Amino acid sequence: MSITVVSMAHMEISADPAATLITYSLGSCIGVAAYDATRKVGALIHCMLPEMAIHPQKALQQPGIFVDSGLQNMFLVMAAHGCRPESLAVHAAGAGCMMDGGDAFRIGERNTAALHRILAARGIRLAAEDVGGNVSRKLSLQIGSGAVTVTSNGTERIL
Amino acid sequence: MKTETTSTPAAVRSQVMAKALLFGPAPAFTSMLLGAIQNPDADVPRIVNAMRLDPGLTANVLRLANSAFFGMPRSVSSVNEAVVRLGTKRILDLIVATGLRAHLSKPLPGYGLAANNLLQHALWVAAAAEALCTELDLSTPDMLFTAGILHDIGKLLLSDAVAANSASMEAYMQREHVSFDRAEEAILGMNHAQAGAAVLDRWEFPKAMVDAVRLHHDPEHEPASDVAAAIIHVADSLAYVQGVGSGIDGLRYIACETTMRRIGITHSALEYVASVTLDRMVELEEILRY
Repeated sequence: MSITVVSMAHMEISADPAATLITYSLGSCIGVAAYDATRKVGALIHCMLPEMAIHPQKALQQPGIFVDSGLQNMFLVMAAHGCRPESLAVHAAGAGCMMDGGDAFRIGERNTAALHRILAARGIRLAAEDVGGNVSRKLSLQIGSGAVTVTSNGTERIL
Repeated sequence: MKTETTSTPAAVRSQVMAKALLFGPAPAFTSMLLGAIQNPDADVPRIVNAMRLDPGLTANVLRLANSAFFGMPRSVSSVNEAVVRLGTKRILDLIVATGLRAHLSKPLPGYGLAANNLLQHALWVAAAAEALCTELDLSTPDMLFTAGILHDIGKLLLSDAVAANSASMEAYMQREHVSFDRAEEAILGMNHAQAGAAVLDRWEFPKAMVDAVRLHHDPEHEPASDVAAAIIHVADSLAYVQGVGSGIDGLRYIACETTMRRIGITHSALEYVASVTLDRMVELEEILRY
């Protein structure tokens, strides 16, 4: 078994059945796991902010920083691995918020909205999500089984 | 029968204040530089000569002075040139970042922070604070970067007390629906911002910087004071929501809406600052690794 850590604003893809992709410290950032059970290929991304319009040049260098550019890139890379949109199982976690922070700090809500919008536009169904609240989360994807787990407040569960 | 109460907030507070007194000295050359910043007639060449005798520091200052973050269009090859071109305030930023690196790299189990987490958090806040000023067209308060590096130094003093009192703190937060810093105040007698200010007071740092650190979770407490506390507050909140250096405190803080209105933050300005801060933090961390 091998563990690959997906750092902030990055994406990893794997077809190794022994691999697990993990991302930590999802505050208002959103982690998205996509898995093709027929190909046994999975990808995990850790996006910080909703939309590339905020800094298009940055999105070109590092698409994973934004939900829209990050997912677009992730689906392209998965397609290159032979994955088809209709066979993808997509899970999301994170998008938390502070106890109070006004509109400016509702980055988590904007990240969730961006995720929903992009999936809807591509006709990809979201299998499950664990978002919101003021908890920090860890998200993992096992490539062999496609199992997605979320850990928050020290408790791990299958999503 | 109550047997679980082993420490009162006042007792913890006096232990923490004792730690503040025992906490090491300010990084080398900071008092000289603070003097030079406050006194335009200061003998800067004398400071440069003294700094040159410390080869490790010289190497770090040159590396930082030539980084994309602090860097100038032309490369800097001597401490003297670095001081002349970057100015004594920037050199103070470099020296404090270099001098505190080892402290901030330590794991803090009480806060659930692994090695380097607090350093990354400090670098994020310092870089984001400057980016906020640029983005909001605010003039950058003096020594804002240094205040960002130092803002959570109090966590070094409080970590053991947080570990020993975590159950009471959790219960208090559940019961009162308050933020983590409020639970620190109630259970430990002071929050990490106040603990950090005690160290900076002892180091005789300027009052504006001590206040910025002390008030970074309560920026409206003395809103007439320097805007630095407000900027550090927003930069710190941004670090927490982005998960940079958040531990068991997680997202259990409040970003003050009054403060955000006061400095005119918008969600697009905030998101833009987040998008440029990640690279700067990574760059600064890379340089300080040596």
